[in-house]
Amino acid sequence: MRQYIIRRLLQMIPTLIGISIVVFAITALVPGDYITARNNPNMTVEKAEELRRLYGLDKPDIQRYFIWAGNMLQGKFGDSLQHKKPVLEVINTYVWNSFIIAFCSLVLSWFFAIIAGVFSAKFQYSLLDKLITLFVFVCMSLPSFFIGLLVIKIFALTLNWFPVGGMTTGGLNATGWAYVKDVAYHGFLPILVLTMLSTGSLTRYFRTSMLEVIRQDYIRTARAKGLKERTVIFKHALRNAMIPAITLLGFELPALFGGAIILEHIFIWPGIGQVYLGSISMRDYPFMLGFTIILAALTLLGNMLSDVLYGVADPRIRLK
Amino acid sequence: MAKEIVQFRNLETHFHTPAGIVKAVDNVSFSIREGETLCVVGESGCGKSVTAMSLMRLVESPPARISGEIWFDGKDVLKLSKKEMSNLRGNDISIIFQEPMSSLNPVLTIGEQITEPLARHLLMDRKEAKKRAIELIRLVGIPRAEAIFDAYPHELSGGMRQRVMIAIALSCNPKLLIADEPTTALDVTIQAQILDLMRDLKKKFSTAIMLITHDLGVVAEMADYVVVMYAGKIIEEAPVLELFQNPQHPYTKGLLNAKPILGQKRERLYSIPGQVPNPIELEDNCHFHDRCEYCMEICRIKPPPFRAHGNDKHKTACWLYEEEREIHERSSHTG
Repeated sequence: MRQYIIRRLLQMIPTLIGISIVVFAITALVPGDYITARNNPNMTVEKAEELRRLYGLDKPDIQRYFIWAGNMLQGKFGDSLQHKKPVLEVINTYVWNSFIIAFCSLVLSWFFAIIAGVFSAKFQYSLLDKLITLFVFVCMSLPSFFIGLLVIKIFALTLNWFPVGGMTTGGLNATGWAYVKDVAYHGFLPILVLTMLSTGSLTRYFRTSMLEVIRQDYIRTARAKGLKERTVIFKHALRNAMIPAITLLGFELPALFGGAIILEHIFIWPGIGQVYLGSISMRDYPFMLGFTIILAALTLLGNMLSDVLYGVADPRIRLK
Repeated sequence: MAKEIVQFRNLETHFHTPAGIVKAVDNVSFSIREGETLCVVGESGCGKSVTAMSLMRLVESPPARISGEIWFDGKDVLKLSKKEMSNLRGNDISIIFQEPMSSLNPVLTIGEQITEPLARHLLMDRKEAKKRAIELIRLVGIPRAEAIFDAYPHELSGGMRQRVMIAIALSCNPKLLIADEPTTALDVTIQAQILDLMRDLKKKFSTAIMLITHDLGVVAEMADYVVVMYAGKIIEEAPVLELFQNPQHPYTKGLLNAKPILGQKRERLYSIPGQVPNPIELEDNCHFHDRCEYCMEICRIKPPPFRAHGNDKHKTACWLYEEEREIHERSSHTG
């Protein structure tokens, strides 16, 4: 097992090199740079040249790639041009805000999707199944900005239950338990919307998977043993139905840290998604490239994780 | 005579499909006595398995509609509540399926799967159940029982998995063991071993067995009593020796003729001409009539009654014997 993991980690190296080339090439192809993007009316041509030399933007692209890649190898992500701070520090400031929402909605959407999927498979074509399917499709087909604005209108403005946006109450400066409560209070609506969006496809996934499994011979065997229906469904069927879903869990890893660009914008949530988007429009190369590479590495790790988990869940492909 | 432990009375299991009603089991009545092995024989799709599944109440309903009565241990199984039924399953009645390869849960260990009914019905704790499970694995002739306890189904061969299924079925000392074509998916040597094992276990525990098969060789070896089914109906039943020596229904005769005999040279095996009728919306007649060489006018329009002709234990549903009886009765009246 350890050998397998080491081999997979080594295989990630050429992939990451390839990704870095592609990502760098794309950023180099995009017209403009940090100096033009700032659109400073006082900027003179000489001053711009001076700044380009300072940031190292005057060198040819290929040379710039090797300088950047060399720095990355030593773990130097450089300073964000826009924030005037090390890239990793900027990421560290914002990424956990995104992580909170993404993690909560991941747990909730898996929880609801498993329950909804299991019951709509168990009672296939019943009223319950139809209602779940309808609700799930409504959530899935509405765009995030629409649901976002809708819940703000209903829960924040009309009912006044939750704040319109932000992550903490301004000027409260709460610490400890009070801080957690404040963040939860502000985070409820974005988490709700994110959960609604992602539960849909997962529910359908679990439903299909369960439908396949409950027709299997071993489910009939389990019933023939006189086991309770609950045991049959949740122990014998669900464990088998979960196996294909494990792959999905691995893919969720980059999504946990990637931030939700549109939702963060709507709920004025200080997450990494907004910052990332800002870095692209400002041509903040060090941040843009650094964060993209981190996401790429997380994606590869997620892939590996799902392969490893697959073996844990399914004894038939457990690696010796 | 030994006590009857199961009585099927006018069992009907009908499937309502968009294409029409499929009478998978149509007015079937027979009983199984204590410690007896009863074989149900017939072609694929004749309703053998559905009869057994109706007894276990494992037929999905809807679409199936089950009517009639199945008496087991003084209770009508079809009227039991879901809870009472699951107390019965795996405890008083247990079943072995045809496909050992897919009948065990791939993600649970063998031990887990054997101990489940022990914990459920006999309320054993983990330690006790493990001890009993290892005993059972040994009992069905699997070596290295401790290692097998922790193994997963995919690590076992087909024959071993079927032995595990038998171990699960016997775990709670059932009064009736249903074996639904237990050897069909296995190769011949393993078949013989499994049958030997079942016979030994039957002797040891005096469990009644309802053996479903289409293999007359298996019938000859195992059965005390035979029920022949065709298109959802019982067409003949008799003690095994009587059936082999003196088959009455043309279908049974055809089946026995079609059986290969060791040492006999034949170019081609005999086969009954024609095909099994489409089970959807069968007419009310003898379903075998279009394949039968003795077919008479009455066979096409009226179903034959099922009753004994001569020998008390040997019952047949065939007009051939009805007419004989009528002629016989008429001549005896006049004479």
